[in-house]
Amino acid sequence: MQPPEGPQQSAGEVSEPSDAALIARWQRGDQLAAAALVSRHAPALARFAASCGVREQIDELVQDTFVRAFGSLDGFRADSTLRTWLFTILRRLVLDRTRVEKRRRDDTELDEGQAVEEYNALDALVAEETALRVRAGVARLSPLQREVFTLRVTEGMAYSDIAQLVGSTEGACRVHYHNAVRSVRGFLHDA
Amino acid sequence: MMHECENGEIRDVLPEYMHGRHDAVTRARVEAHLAACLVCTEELAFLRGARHAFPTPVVNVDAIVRGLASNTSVESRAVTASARPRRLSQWAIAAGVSCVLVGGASVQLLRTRPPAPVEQRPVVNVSDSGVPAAAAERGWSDLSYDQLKQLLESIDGADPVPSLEPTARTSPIIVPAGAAGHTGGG
Repeated sequence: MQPPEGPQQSAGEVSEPSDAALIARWQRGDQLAAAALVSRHAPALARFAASCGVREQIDELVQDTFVRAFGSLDGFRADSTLRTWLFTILRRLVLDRTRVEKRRRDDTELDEGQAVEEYNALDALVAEETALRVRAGVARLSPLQREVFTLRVTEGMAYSDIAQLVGSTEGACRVHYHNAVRSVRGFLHDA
Repeated sequence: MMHECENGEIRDVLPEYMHGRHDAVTRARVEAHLAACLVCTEELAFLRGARHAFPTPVVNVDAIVRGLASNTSVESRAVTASARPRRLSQWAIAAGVSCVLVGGASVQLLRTRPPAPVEQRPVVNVSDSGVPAAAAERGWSDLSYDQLKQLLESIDGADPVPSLEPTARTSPIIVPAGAAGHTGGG
């Protein structure tokens, strides 16, 4: 059996400074702390942005997320993790950008078929067959299902954090996740 | 054809297991279930494939940090951080203490201040109509009925609108006798 991927953290083990400690250091002017925070969270944010359909200027989007987050730390509630808060900000930015782009193109909302075509057009250049099919299957999900599935699968985020992020309940997120898994697996099976 | 696993609890936590978020006990429990459940093993394989189907876009951490530094100055960080609430609370405490001290001193001053002597009270000459100014010294409540009536009549008779035209004043110019012949001399 393959071991689980990702960091093997046992309960209570602290190997790196916490987000709160890094934030405090950064507020005192420590640029290394800022770099550590960005290094820790930027890849996941970029991955989530990409899974939301963002294809261009992901760096800029992630940077805006950090700027907004650190510019309004008063709004950061301690009952959520920094990562969840960052994801929440990023999600809002993605939605804003999507609305602006839709207005700019004077286009109607993308339906599922169009989303699949976008994924196919991009991924055919670089992706392997299985990954392409998975992404196509995920692209067929509803926006909320896609978000829940992505956050759960690619980030391992807990239902409680996802619920807070997307403004739903844990139970609803659980249902969305399992429906998404069933849908994507069914798509792969039929393809 | 997919089959369902009856152990929904384990199936529900497979993403956390995949990301290594569990403690040793839960991890062992999940692995024990996986060893006996083909459905969950297949689902875990699917999740691993799905996870890697979304490669991480390349992000320039240095550029982001630079942008972060230029967009949020050290001063704003200090204000945004705990300094602002702490300063605010210190000011609030100082203001509260000041208010208490000033208020207490005022109350104490009023209590200890001797009553003003009657002679120092301002004398209000309402009119020249014969109302004794000394009545004001004693207080209006000490006026008799006749004195009060006289005072009210004098008030009614007063002209509420002053004349807009100033009265002409003709002041004689007095020139010193010795200065008349010396004007313009130097």
